[in-house]
Amino acid sequence: MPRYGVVLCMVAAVLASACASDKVPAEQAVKAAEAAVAAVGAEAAKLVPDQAKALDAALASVKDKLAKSEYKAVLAEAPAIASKATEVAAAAAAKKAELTKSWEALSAGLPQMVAAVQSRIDILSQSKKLPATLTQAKFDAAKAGLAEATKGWEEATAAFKNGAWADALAKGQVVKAKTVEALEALGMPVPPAAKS
Amino acid sequence: MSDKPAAKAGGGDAWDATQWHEVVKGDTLWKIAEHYYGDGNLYPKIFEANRDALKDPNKIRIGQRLRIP
Repeated sequence: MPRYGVVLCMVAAVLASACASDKVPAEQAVKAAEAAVAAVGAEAAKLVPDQAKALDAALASVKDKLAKSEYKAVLAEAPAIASKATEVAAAAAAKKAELTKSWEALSAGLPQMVAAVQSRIDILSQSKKLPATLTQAKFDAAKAGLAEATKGWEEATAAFKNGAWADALAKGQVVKAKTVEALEALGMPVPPAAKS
Repeated sequence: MSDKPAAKAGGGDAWDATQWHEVVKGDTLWKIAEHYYGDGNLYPKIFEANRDALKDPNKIRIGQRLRIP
């Protein structure tokens, strides 16, 4: 009996020391995972929100396991977080490049469309009567649409400057649609780029 | 006898919303302004927008493309 007791004590001691020996590596693994997630940056949450959220959840999970001393689980899961963080960073960079390119195209062309509408409305406002092809209702609608487009473009530009790229593009598309409506109401041609 | 003023669209730029008018027989800047603006008195707007091509508002040529601001 005493021999069994000694053996049991020795096994318990070995197990305890094994657990303790996983603790430091697990802590280091979590620190490495935290650093990898921090390196992704706050922009990722705006650009690829679902992926960023999943990454944060994975980090929270290993931290929770560390707090519960589930060191083996931490050591199994934490390394994958670093490679996942790299993927998320790459996805965010690609998304940002795509949104920026779309914005640049829109901001290069949309203001000149708006200016064309403005010019026509200004001239028609000086006319003694509207042309035969334009009703007062359509003219009023064009003026209202232009006012909304102008305000919308200011908001879109501000959103882009604040890093809300997807929001800026969405607002820009609304401005484009309103400007096209105004062009059509005025009987003016719609440029090819505005038709897409 | 003049045809109805011919309206055409476009320019080289994909975002260009400039409206163009191709001059047909019988056109004058007055008539063109009357068509697009409802008021022939606004013909100077068309003349000013086309100073690169027009020296005299009374002299336009058939086939000439004019910007309609």
